[in-house]
Order: sequence, then C-alpha cells, then structure tokens
Amino acid sequence: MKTTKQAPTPWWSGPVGALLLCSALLMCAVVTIFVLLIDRQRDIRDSIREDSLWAAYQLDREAGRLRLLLTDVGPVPTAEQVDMLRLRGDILLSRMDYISTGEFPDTFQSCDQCPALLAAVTSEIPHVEQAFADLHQASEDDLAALNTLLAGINRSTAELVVLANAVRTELLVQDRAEIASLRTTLAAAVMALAAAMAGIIAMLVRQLAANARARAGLSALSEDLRTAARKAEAANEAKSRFLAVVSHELRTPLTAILGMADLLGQASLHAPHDRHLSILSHSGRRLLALVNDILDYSRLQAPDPRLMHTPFEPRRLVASALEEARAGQTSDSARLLLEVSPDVPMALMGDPDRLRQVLLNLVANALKFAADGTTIVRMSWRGSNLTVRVEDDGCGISPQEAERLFEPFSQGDNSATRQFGGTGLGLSISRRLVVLMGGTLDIDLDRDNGACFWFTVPLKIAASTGASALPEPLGHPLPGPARQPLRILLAEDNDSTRLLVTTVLRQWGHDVTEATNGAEALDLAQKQTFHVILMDLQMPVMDGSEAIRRIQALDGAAARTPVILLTADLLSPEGLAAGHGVTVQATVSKPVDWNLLRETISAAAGTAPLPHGTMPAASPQAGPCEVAPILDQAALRKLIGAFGDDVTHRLLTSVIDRLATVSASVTAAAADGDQEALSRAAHSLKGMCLQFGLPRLADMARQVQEAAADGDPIPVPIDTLASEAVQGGKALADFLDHMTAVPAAQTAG
Amino acid sequence: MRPRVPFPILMIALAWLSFTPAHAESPLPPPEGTVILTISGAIEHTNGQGVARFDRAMLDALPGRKADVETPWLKERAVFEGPLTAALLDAVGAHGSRLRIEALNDYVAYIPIDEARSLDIILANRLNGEPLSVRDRGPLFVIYPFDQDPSLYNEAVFSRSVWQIRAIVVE
Repeated sequence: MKTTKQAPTPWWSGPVGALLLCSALLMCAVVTIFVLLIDRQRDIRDSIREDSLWAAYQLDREAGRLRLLLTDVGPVPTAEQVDMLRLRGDILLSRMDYISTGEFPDTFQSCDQCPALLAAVTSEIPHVEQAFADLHQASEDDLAALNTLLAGINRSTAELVVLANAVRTELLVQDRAEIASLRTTLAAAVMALAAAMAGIIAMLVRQLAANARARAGLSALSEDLRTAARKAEAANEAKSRFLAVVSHELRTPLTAILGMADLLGQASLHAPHDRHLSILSHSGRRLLALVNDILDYSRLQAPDPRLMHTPFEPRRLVASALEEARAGQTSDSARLLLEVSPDVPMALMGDPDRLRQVLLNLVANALKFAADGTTIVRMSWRGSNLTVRVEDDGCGISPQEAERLFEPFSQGDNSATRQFGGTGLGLSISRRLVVLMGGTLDIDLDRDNGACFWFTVPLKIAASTGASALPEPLGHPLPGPARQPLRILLAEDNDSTRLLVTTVLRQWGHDVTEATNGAEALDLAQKQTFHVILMDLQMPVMDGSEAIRRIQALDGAAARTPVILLTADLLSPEGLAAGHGVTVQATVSKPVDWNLLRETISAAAGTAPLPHGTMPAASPQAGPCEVAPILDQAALRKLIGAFGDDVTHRLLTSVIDRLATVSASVTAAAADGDQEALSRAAHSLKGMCLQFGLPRLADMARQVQEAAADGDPIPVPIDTLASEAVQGGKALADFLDHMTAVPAAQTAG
Repeated sequence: MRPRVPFPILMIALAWLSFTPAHAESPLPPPEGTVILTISGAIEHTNGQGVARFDRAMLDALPGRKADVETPWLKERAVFEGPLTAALLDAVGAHGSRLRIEALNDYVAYIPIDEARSLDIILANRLNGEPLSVRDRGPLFVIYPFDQDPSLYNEAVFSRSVWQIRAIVVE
C-alpha cells in the first residue's frame, strides 16, 4: 500500500497568505492616500491668493462712488473738487490696475465669461487716465462722457462680481467634495485595514486553539503510550513468571526421570531391560532438550534477555563443545576435526555458556546430517571478531531450504525432521543468540557438497580467565569418587531429587546431610559445619534464599560456607540471589549435569586435587574446613596390593563389623562420662581407621581421644562420631562392592 | 490752512524745542509738507488739534526697514520700504490695545497693538526706491514681514494689509 507523500505546503499559502496580501495592499493604499493628502496641502499653500471676488467688488464700489461724486460736483468743478476727483480717480485706477495685473488664478480663470469682462474693464484704463488728466479743463460734455464711461465700467464690474461669487462658491463646494471623498476613501481604507487585522487576529486565535488541541492530543497520546508500555511490561513479567513456573514444573519430574534412569544405568541390567532403559534415557533426554529449547526460545523472545559477560578460553570452550557433540553422536564413522587459528586470543570476554550452546547446536547438526562424512570446525580471529565455521560434507542444503532453515520448527526438509529428530528450534535460537551478541550467523551455500554454517561475533580480549566452572571432557555419565570427600549440606524439598543427589554425592564419597526445607538447613548449619551447602530455592517453610541469608548472617564458619544453588528455575539465579542480598558461589540448574556439579563442588570447597598417595589425616592443622576424606582409597589399594583381593575383602568385611562395635563402645563410654574408657575406645577406633583407610573417622577419633585424655571437653559430638562411623562402614562396603565388580580397573590407581 | 503763529512765540517755541529732548512730554513737531497720515486716539504726543499729523519727511525720519517680499498684489518680487509701526507708535506714545487703520476708500482693518509692536510691520511709502503714489496703492501700505515669517502669507494677513492709508486710530 503506497501512501502519497504530500509536498509540504509553504507557510505563505492558504488563508494566511491571502490575508497578508490584503494587508499589504491596504498598507499601500493608505500610504498613497497619505501622499495625496500631503500633496493637497502643498496645493493649498500654493493657492493662497488675494481674494478676486473682493477685488472685483471693491472695483465695482469705487466706480459707483466716483460716479456719485461726479454728479455732486456740478458742471464746473472747483480746484479743490478737481484734486479730490483726481485722488478718487487714482484710487479707481489702482483698482483697475490691480484687476488686470493681480493674480487671480482659480476664480477668474474657471469662469467662462470672466476673461472677456476683465478685458472690457482693462481696456478702459487708458480712457480713464486720459479723462482724469484733462479734468481741470473738462467741459460739461467731457464730464458726461466720463460718467458714461464709468457707467459702462460699472456694468462690467457688477457682472464680474456676480460671476466671481458664483465661481467661488462652486470652487468651495468642489474643494469640500474633494476633501470629503478623500476622507471617505481614507476611512474605507482604514476600515479594510482593521478588517484585515481582525482577520489575522482571528487566524492567530484559531492557530493557538489548534496548538492547544494538538498539545492536549499529544499528552493524551503519551498517556496512552505510557499505559500501553505498562501493560506490555506487565504482560512480559507475567510471561516471565509463567516461564519460570513452567520450567520449574516441567524440569522437576524430568530431573527425577533422568536421574533415576542414570542410577538404573549403574546397575547391570539384562536384555531386554538394558535396551528399555536406553530408550527411556534417550527419550528423557530428548524431552529435556525439547523443553529446554522451547523455554530458551520463549525466553529469547523477551526484549532484553541477559547475556553473561565473563572471561573464557575459546580453545577450551570449542574443545569441550566438540567433545560433547561427539559423545552425543550416534554414528561412529563420522569424523570431527578442529582447526583453531593461532591468532585467536587466549581469553575473551563473553557468554561462554551461550557460545557453547551455539557451537554445540551447529556441530550436532553437522554430525547429524553428515553422519558418514567429515565435519571440520574452524575457529579464527580477525579485527576483534571471532569467527567459527562448521563445514560438513553431508547431504547439503538447497537455497530454498536455506530460506526456511532459521525459522522455528523447520529443518529444511520435513522428512529430515522425522529421520533425524530434533526440535527444529536449534538454529533459530542460535541465530538469535548470535544476533544478541552483536554478531551474524549464516550459511554458506556456494559449496559443491555439504553445507557450511558460520557465525561471527565481536568480542573483547579478556585479561585473564579466572576460575572457570567448565566441565571437563566427558568420561562416563557418572563420574567416580571425588578426589576429596567433603561434608555437604543438601537442602532439597523434593524427595526424589534429594534422594538422587544424595546418592550421587555419596557415591563420590561425600558426606551428605539432608534437609527438606530452608528451616532445617538453617538449623543444621548452626549445629554442624560443612564444606559446601547445596541449596534448592523453592522450598516450603523457608525458601532457599531466605535460608542462605540467615546462614550467612550467623557467626562463625557457617557464614563462610560456600553455597551452591541447585535450582530448576530458568530465571537468572545470579539476579535472584543478588536480589535477595545473598552471595552464592555458583549455580547448577536441574536436571543436574553431574560433571558440572562435581567441578562446582570442588571449586566451591576450594579443594585442590590431592596427589595420589597423600594421607591427608596426617595434617596437624585439621580445622573445620580441612576435614580429611572419609575413605582413603590409596591406603586401601595398598592393602589390596599387599594382601591381595580375597584377604583384603575378608579384612575389610570384619573391619566393617568391628567398626560398629567400637563405635558403640565409644558412645557408651561417652554416655557414662568415663573419660578413660572413652579415651581407650577412641584410641582403638583411631588405630583401626588409620589402618583401614578411614582418615576422617581416624581424625575424629584422635580428637576425642586427646580431649578425653586431657580432660578437656570433647570437640566432636559423639553423635557425629557415631554417624561418621556408620558412614565409614558404608563407604567401606561400597568400596568392597566396587572392588568386586571391576577388579581389573582398580589397579589403575 | 492754519492761522499764522506770531513770530516771537514761534521763536521761543523753536528755541524751547531745540534745547529739550524730542520724546517724552514734548509734543511732536508739526508737519511741514503735505500731511499723508493722521494718528488719533489714545496717544500721548500730538502736533495740533489733538492729533499727530505726519508728512513724508517725518515718516522717513523714523526708523524703518526694507522688506524684499513676494506679495499677492504684484506679479514680481518687490522691495517695500517704510517706517516700522512700532517706531511710529513710540513716536506718538500710543497706549491702546488695537489700531484701527483707515484707507482712502473707507476700507478699515484692525491690527492688535501687540502684533504691531512685536512684528516688523512697516508702513511702506516706497516701492523699489520710488515713492508710492496713490495709484500704486500709496501713500502708505501696511506690509507685513513676509520675508521674515512665511507663515504670515495667508488671507487673514492680506485683509489687514491695508493700502492707501489715510489715518490710524489708536483704540
């Protein structure tokens, strides 16, 4: 759908433009009128003249007066009368001169008859002059002629006066009309200007109103957006919580299923049960993979899935990923080769778990689809980007298939899904992860056979790796006994899970104390000391984080005990822990990766791998954190070496029996308060333990013996000693069983 | 025609006149030539019959000025010359509020004494150096100082610019 983009209208078009134009025109008009008015002023100044009507009137009057005087004079005037007449004649002549020479532009020029009349008057001037010059010798007839002359002049002047008056009034009216019209024009112009101004003001008001409306609209919109954002956030939170709950719920039974399957795997099963177990285990793992993938995918859809940022070693990472992939492959004929470029740095900063996940996905895919061929993994480094290419020579991928590959739940060819299994989410998740890291994941199609998946991520070089909790290359699904037995407090509410973990831990030779909730864990932590605490998070009565907080608030060594979280929650446990104000050493998610758990426990306890042959019980400073292991395998093997299997077997069997007895006597002596008896019993116990590879029990017995001998209070609770003895017996029994099952392997030492 | 004054009295009067200042309480000298202007009314100094009569010579003796002006009565620019009205008023000791100026044809106009004293109005009796004849609107013509103040050039002033002056009455 194309939307036509309108060219922005210029600001001067439309109603505003029209009004501006009007105002401009009106301003021009007003200016013009002003100019006209000023011009008129000048005209008026120029038109200041002597009044022509008055001049005409005076002339007329003078002529009449002179005629009157002439008649009074009589036929023969006296000298005096002649002088007077001459004076009056001069006056008349002066008036006549004035009429002819003065400037009378408007009045006399605008009347048609006036010029003729004027001419008539002025033409008589010389006659009048002559007449008055000869006055002293004028006869009666001359006087009569003068009178007639004057009468003629009078008639002209009378008419002149009337005409002048008429013209004058006309001019007056004209002037007034001109001014009136000018005033009207000006008034009209001013009105129009006012109208234009009013129009502009109206437009302004409208604009302001529109602005106010727009502002209101904007604020309403922003309010709506805020609400929408809040709703989205709430929805997201709800989804996250849902995921957490779902993940926990789904994974908990899966943990049990897989764990039990693993345990069953320890027993030797006959056909067809072994095959049944294999299918059970396989299906369980597939289900787990599916659940993980789905939950992972959902989590990655969130706007801000958190990635870790820790140092890791890329070589170790890729090697371990490859090991795991190789272990998971079904066919033995596939070849997997690794080529790491020398300029790849030793340590990088990133999210090793996620990188491993991507690697595993790509390599597993390659192995799956190129089961009979060779898969080469190349890791290289250029321009602070880490690039990994996974090339296989398998069935290859067509360009159309490649399009759909990265979409969820597709594996190129639907038939492949059925053939090879898998969730179809792997590539989609991998790509999303790589993109989150700021990189690219894609497929190289221009190859003759097979496919090449590659990804490249920008990473920073890390200063050092520090302690990494990476699992070692896989050996057996369940590793053998731990290097150094530890006292472990396990808090887990789920019975099956607890049983499982305890069993495994005990298999590793650790001493496990169980708690079913946080309150019990806290209680036990107060009473006893442990090397490591394994804490589940969601438990009744008191949950894991609360328990950890309380334990870490205790005085003494309990607070310093490292805590490992065992949780099925997919939410970032670091975040959870930090949010509750506790520090955990590490987190192992359920279902438990036993290798990971083992390494994590070792790392948490800070126990370095003991070299073979060392007798840790000989250490004099055996503090609470440096407790000797339960079983000294080396010593026992020495026994075997010395006495052979059968004899050792019998010996150990009797030891187990006697252990119970001696332990009972120790308990009795302690109960009686008989220090001496206690000392002797403990001594006896100690000797036996030292002899038969129970260093921890031996150490405990020694402490009890020394304390009893000196009369000091017993540092080790007798119950603990008793249970320790039981543990020791069990360990020996286990050892015996183990010895019987794989006799040849034990000599490997 | 006046009665002839006896010679001795005339001698005494002339002698008295020659030894006293011309202004203040002394009466004006009588005119010798033709009287062209008669000033009457509220005046201090007279020279016969309760009025002050002036001939051309007496007027010429008064301080005056030349006004080179454009007038509506003549086509060209002209130089009018004559005594200042202020000087005339001082000469007669006028103490009224206005002057009633009468012309030979009985035309009358009024000039306020303040205006007569404050502006350099002259009673012109010469035009371009020549004495002003009656036909030329003489013998005396009120000429306002248009050259000094162009705003005087209007019809109201024209109507006060009396020509062919016969007499002035100080009211």
